[in-house]
Amino acid sequence: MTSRTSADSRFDNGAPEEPALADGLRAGSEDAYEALISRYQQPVFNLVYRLLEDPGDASDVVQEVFLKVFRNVGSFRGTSSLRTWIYRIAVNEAHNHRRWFTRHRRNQVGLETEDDSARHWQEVLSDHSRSAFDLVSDAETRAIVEQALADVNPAFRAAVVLRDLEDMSYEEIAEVLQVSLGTVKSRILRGREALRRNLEGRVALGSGLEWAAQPAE
Amino acid sequence: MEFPIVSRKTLACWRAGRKLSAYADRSLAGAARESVTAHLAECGECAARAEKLVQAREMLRTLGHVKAPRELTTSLRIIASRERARRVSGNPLFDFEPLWMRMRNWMQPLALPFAGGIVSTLVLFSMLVPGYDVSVRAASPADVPTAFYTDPSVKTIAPFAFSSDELVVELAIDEQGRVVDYHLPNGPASAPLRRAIENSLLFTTFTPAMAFGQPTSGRVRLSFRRSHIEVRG
Repeated sequence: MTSRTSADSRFDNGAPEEPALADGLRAGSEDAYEALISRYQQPVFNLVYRLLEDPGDASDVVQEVFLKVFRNVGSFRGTSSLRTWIYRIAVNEAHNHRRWFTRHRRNQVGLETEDDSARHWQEVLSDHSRSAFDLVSDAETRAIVEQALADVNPAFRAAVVLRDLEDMSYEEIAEVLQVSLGTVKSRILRGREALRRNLEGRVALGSGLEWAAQPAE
Repeated sequence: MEFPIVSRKTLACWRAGRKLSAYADRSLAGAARESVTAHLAECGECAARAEKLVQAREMLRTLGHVKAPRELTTSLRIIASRERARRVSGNPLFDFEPLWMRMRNWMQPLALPFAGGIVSTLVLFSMLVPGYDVSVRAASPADVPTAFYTDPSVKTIAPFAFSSDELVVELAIDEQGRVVDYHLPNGPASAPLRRAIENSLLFTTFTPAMAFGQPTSGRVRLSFRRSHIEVRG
């Protein structure tokens, strides 16, 4: 990518505004494409990762999302924000992939035990400020919460993830999921109640982050 | 009809319960938040439920963001580069790409069953065609048959008979409708009978066999049977 258009100058300093970013994408600006990737790659990956049954497929789905964004940016009218438009594509793509997964790959078993490629070097290095017990405890708590979240109905899970992990407003969530505000509130409430029930069986809620008694396997 | 008795406390719990989620993420403001706070101060059950919701939300938020793999950035840059090149190239078919992609996604699952259906149809049809009788008969004597092959036929028969009660004669008819040979499949006949047959065939006219609209030689089998009327009394 060597040729630079007049739109490039808008992305030279700091984060570009969304309308300018959309215009830059339509004009084929190299910097606009780069800005879009650097701005939305992480949150879209996080969203897709939380919505899929098999998080190992998150990278493939994210690539599909960005491909659709690049190809369909010409049809983006700006009636919603670019962020909600991209998130809507991500939620729909994750939904499609989940349906495909249910039909085709439910019974497949992978050979990989853990995906280390997603870990940053800072996570791999030891943190001397915390004890080994704290690190193991945190990792186990995180695994329990992740499993409890994964057990929540996908429709409610999407609303909860958008609200609590992506910090979106109720109105933005309604745009992303293309449902009414009342439905968003209802889904978030039911999703949180389901999460609370799932966690109650595994972690003692109501008295800090203490462990519930678990039978030894 | 009896209605269930709903106490004021249950009703207040139900109203507060609908707002507990918004209360837990601090999106409830003003009078609504004050009314929920007041109810939680009175109702220990709802207060415990609200506390658990808040804690479940806080635990969820500790998950934070999962870091995207580094290879993903490279893959996305490659996709961006390719898509940008296509957009900048100004290919007039570029705008139809989403339509084409949608069409392809729609057709792809049908492609294999469709191809399988066509192949099996061709195989079955090619197996069945040789068994079909495709000879075409003329609808009226004036019609000229144009398709495939039609057998020779008798146009007019001789006005006199011969002595045998029942006789089968196989005739070879040339392209001009003339008898060039005959054969008795039921065995040889006597000389007077053969003479009678030949005299009869001499005055019988035939329509020749037709192949693709052109007269051609063919064979026809004629069966003669004596008919008589019995009168009693």
